[in-house]
Amino acid sequence: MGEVQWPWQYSFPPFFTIQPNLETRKKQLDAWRSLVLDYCRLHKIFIIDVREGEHLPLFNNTAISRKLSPQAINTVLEVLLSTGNAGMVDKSSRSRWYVYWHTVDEWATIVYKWAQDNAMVNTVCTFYELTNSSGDLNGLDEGILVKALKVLEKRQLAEILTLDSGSGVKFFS
Amino acid sequence: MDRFEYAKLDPAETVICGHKNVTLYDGDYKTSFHRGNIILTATRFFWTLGEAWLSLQLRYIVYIECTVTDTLFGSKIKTIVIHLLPSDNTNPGPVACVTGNYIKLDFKDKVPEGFFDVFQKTIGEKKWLIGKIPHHIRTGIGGIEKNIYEKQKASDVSITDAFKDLDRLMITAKDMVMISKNISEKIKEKQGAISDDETVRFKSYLLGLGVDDPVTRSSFTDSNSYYTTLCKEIIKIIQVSLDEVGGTMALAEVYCRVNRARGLDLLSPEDLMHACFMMNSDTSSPIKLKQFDSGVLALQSSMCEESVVLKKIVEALKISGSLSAQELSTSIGVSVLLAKEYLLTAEKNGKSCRDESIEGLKFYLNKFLEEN
Repeated sequence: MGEVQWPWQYSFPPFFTIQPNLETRKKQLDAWRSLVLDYCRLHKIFIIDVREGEHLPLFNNTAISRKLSPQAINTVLEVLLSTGNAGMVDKSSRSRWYVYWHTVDEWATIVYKWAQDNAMVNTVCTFYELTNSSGDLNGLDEGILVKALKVLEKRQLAEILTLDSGSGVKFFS
Repeated sequence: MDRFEYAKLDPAETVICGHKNVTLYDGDYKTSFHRGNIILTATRFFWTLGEAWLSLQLRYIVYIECTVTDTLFGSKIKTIVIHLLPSDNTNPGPVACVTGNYIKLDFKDKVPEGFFDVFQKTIGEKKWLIGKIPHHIRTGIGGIEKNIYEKQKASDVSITDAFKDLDRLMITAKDMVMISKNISEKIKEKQGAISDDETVRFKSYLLGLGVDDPVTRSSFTDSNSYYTTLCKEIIKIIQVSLDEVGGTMALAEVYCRVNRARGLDLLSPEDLMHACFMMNSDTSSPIKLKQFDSGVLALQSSMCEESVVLKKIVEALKISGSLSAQELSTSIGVSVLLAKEYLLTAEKNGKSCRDESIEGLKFYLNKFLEEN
């Protein structure tokens, strides 16, 4: 797991204040969006809790003693939401968010491709098998996996099964 | 006798009548107050002998009567009986304890002609009530209101008194301004006599005295023309200093400077503001009133373009990297309020961006937009 290449904005104090000027804010939030996605991809972070945000170096630059306030984190995550790169874990609270550095559709494609590559089409496999395989799917959050599988269900390429020892899925060709 | 107290005749009291050789009786008993003089005033009755003075307030007297005494040579009136109310006297007197409800005045020969009638009449007039009457009325809400009214009246009078001197000063000050004007004109005539340097210095002192003929409300009948004239005066006063400070001046500072120049007949903030609003309706005015987004009002010279100010802010930001309103105000010499407005204007135009932290609000060059 390599170190993050922090962009120049990360050490620019105004980056941690949401800018009131609309044009400036757009640029700022764009930068935040790509930074959050890069960071989460690198560290395999699937869920961000806004209340815990300041414990992530992502939102807290101790070198210049600036951190993004919880409201500001929410603002950033809403931008991610609008591009399909985030979603609320629980619709009623806005504090826990999924971060999709692959969108759900992309995850669905990746899962199906894994099934094809590993000759799992027309067989049943458990979630455990999926999330403990080598490759992109390793460590994938189950919540996101279910969402991806549901997309495959809609495409009629898979069906989620409830097994005795947990959940599983059957892929179709 | 306990109604009597030690009290001398007040010089302000008017003596109605007085008689000699009168002995006091407490009830039917003769007292040691023997053959003294009696004096009757409108409110009190005195018995005196040598240094001793006794007084009886007439309000105690219920009624008086004469008693007839039989003698060898027939009957004559020698004694007056005075019936009294119970005592509520707290002042020291010759007798402390109650002995009877009446006293007697015993005249040596007979009661002087007419004394009894005069005494009766004096008691009947009840003059002692007069001083008290207003106090009796002044109770309740009416009394309180009257009290307040009287206090206000008194303070009104004292305020008017206090400012009488100031009025006189104002009149004299007008003369002073006239004199200074005369002197400066004379100096102009005799330009050669004193050195230019001195003239200039002296003139600057005189100018410091202020505006020769300030525009006052009293010289106008309608407020519109008053404001228009006032507006012209303000432009005249402020133009030079406005250019000195870089073209923009917050209205509070304008207010101070204008009133400093007037010296007397000071303007109210409202009048100044109304006059400044007139600047914007007059297109030829070299100074405009500008309202920033935050509501701050400032006068701005028409020479002072926004783009020029922005350029200045960007320069300042480039030099120092980051700036708070405080820092900018010291580096370009404007008030903190205006410095903040400048920075916000720069932000609005995308030239700067903000950094809010525990250290306060700071502004940086807008690298977000610059990078692309």
